[in-house]
Amino acid sequence: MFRTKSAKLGSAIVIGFVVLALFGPLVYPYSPTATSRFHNQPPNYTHLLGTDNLGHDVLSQTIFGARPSIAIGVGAAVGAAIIGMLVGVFAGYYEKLESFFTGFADTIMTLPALPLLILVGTVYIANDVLIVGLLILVLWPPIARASRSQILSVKSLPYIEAAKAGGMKDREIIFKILVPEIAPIAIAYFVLAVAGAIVVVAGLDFLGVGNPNNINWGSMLYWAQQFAFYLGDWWWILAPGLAITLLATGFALIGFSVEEATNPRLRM
Amino acid sequence: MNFIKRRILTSIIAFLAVVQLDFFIPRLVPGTAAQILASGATLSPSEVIALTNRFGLNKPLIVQYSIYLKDVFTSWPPNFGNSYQYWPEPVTTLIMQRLPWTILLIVTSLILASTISFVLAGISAVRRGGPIEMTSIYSSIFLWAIPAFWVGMILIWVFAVWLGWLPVFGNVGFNSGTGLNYISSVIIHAILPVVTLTLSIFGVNYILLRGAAQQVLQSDFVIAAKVRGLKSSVIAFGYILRNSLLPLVSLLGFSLASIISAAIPIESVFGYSGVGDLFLDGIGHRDIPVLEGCFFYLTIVVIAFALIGDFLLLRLDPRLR
Amino acid sequence: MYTGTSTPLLRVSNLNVEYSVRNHHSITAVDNLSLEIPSSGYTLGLVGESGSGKSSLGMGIMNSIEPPGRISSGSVEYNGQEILKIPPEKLRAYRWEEVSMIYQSAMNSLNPVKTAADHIVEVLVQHRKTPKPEARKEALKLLSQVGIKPERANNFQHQLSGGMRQRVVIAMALALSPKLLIADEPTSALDVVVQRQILSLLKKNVRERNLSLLFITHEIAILRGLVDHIAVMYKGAIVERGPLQKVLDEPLHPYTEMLLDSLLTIDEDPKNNVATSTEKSASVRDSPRIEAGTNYCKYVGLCKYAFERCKVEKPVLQKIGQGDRLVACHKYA
Repeated sequence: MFRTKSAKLGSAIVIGFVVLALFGPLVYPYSPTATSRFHNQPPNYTHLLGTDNLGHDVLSQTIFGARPSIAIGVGAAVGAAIIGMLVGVFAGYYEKLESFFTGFADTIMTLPALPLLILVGTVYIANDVLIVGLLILVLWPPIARASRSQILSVKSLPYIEAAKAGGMKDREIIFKILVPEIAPIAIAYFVLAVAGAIVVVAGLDFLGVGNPNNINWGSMLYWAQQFAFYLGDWWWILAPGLAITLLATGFALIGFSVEEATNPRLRM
Repeated sequence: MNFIKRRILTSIIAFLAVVQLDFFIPRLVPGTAAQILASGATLSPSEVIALTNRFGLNKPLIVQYSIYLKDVFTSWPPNFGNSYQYWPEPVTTLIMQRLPWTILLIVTSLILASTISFVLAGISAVRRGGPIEMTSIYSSIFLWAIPAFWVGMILIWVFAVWLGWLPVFGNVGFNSGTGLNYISSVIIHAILPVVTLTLSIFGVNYILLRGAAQQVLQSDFVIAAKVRGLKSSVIAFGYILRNSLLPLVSLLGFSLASIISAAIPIESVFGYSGVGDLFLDGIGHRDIPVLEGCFFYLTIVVIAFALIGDFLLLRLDPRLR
Repeated sequence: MYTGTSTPLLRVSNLNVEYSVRNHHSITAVDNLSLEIPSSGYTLGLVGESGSGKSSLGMGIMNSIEPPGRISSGSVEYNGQEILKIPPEKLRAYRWEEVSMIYQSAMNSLNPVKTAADHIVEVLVQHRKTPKPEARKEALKLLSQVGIKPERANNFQHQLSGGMRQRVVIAMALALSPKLLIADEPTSALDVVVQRQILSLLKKNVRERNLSLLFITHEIAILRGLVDHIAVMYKGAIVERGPLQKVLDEPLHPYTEMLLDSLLTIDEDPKNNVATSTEKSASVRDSPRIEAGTNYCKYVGLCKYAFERCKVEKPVLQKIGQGDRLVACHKYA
């Protein structure tokens, strides 16, 4: 019950944002970069979510921000998922490689992601590609771990033995049987990785890593943090943060539902 | 390999990795004196020269590397040089002033979050599908997804700006003096940051704990315990949770990295003078020694706590001995 | 049924246990089953293949059916008291103090973080409120009675062999001196040598304590010397019942006949039996679904004696002649 309800809710949210991202330019009332003299306005009829201190329309900026968030989040997660699955599957299947890969993955997981990203992002004047690359580096270990443990439990099933005895090559076994077998749990972790990436990227932008003049949710909060409290512009703080939260929650709901569904012992 | 040996090995490797990363990442950007000046530090030319010589900033990378390693490993505490921004303060001194605050924040939040999630998971295990479990699971997913720093901003808005109950910035008031006054000031200033971080950790903890508990719940030995006529509370805590703790503690070791990651922006939002705040400061001023030092110490904290967690796990799980 | 003047120790009446599967279907595991255990010391073997519902019956007697299963109707009476509808405290007292159970896989009964002795201490403390030091002494005593020396009492489950774990489980089951012991395939997961040790341990304790025993298994062979009576279960219902030797010598129900036929020899030599005993004892791994309430004999597809009546009327378990034998088959009705 829980999983279908929440999966549906999550999907609805995600689809909503995707639509916004794709059709944004048709939807937002003002250009996100347009300043105006109506600054610091609370939500009203002309500016549904108010304006910031330079007169930007918060609603338009929020809608616009959906694109980079989704793009980076999904992009990084896809890369992480591919690497993670490959590593996890091979580590699970070929035991000799196992300790090496597990140790490697564990080590990466021990490193705190945000400081590393901040460090690199600052020193190298971050651009999107770099950030995505780093995110992939940080996000693949959990996917690899999940894939590996799933492989381990599936590897010894009788029909795998039968396939081997029947002469199937390892490569075939891996790609035709094992990968589809672990696909569900990998998808679950992939979706969660998207959620994580979105939040982390927002955090980076919030801290000023990457160009604060880009328009995305994190940088909106970057500026908001400096001005909104003193000026009393609560809407400026609320809108971007809420957007991040909703989108991440949407993905999280999907991810956790899939995880619960693929694990037969978990049940509500 | 023996469990604890493997964990120690991983920790050492991680430590070494950090040391390398810490060196190479900043250095690979070209420019030396330019670097220093770009940080906007106010140094006299002779100071710049002294600095360049001390750290070999105009020498080949390999020389810098050996100076770096020597500084890190032979001096105690490891020497990361002097902050450009707060010249001539040694980085390590700056960090040591702030490290206790960061640790206070993290430990308090960790304890609070773990206790709450443990209790809620216990109740949920006994009354499955009940209102407590439902609210807990939805709120923890929400809390998992929500950006911690934003929560902080909201809390500041509500409690500090709008209601004016709690202070906005800092870890302690300006003229709080010593003794009880000091302590109460610390506590008041710590409330919001701790609450923010706790909420964030709870999100992660509860989901993990519940997942582990669900797995255990379906186990035969839990059913066997019921058949033995044991009380629900005994089963919930002695069987279900006790066995769920094992994967939880081991996962906590990894989630520590994300806890630190979350603590940094939280410190920034609240102006809480911990290591995270210093780190971010360093970003703004491109103060590379500070960045290196903070990254190093933060990661050490993560590794240390993870090891502590592993020792705890060793005590809890008889299978590892 | 068995007519006795006093209340039977255990009386199961028209018990139905169902499991729901997806799409609101349900499988009937126990189909309108009635069974009695008249008194202390009465030992009964319950034979059936996997899927015949025998484990569900055991759990049903303990009122421990877990979702997605449920007891949809019927009653279980212990000493005249209805077990399926009692308040939780009484249910807890019934469980283990009156009736206890041992399972096939001891590993799945034991808590991985508790020692062997801990388990017994826990049961004593929880049920009898025995103070801990006494409970520990008692636990050690029980463990040595089942052949576990005190040095090993503090071992965890992963440090014990399969046979030893099963001994711990038996000790746990006997700790509160119950009147009825349900053993659900306790030796199926053990190798043959250990199997014999466990069986003789059980035998000894049952005799010495005058316990009633309900021994559930799919191997008829091991019941010899262990129980006095036997009941045969097929697709959720009891099809034959009687004294063990009489049923083995002269099976009445066609299914019992088939079971015994597939037992070529009851070979006492363990060396020959390792692989074959499981084949010889009638155990069919896959069993098709059981439809409840259908009006025909469920065995009709495989029965070599089937005739018209078998396809339209469900046979009822009835007494044959004046003896102590019961059969559910139209051949004798």
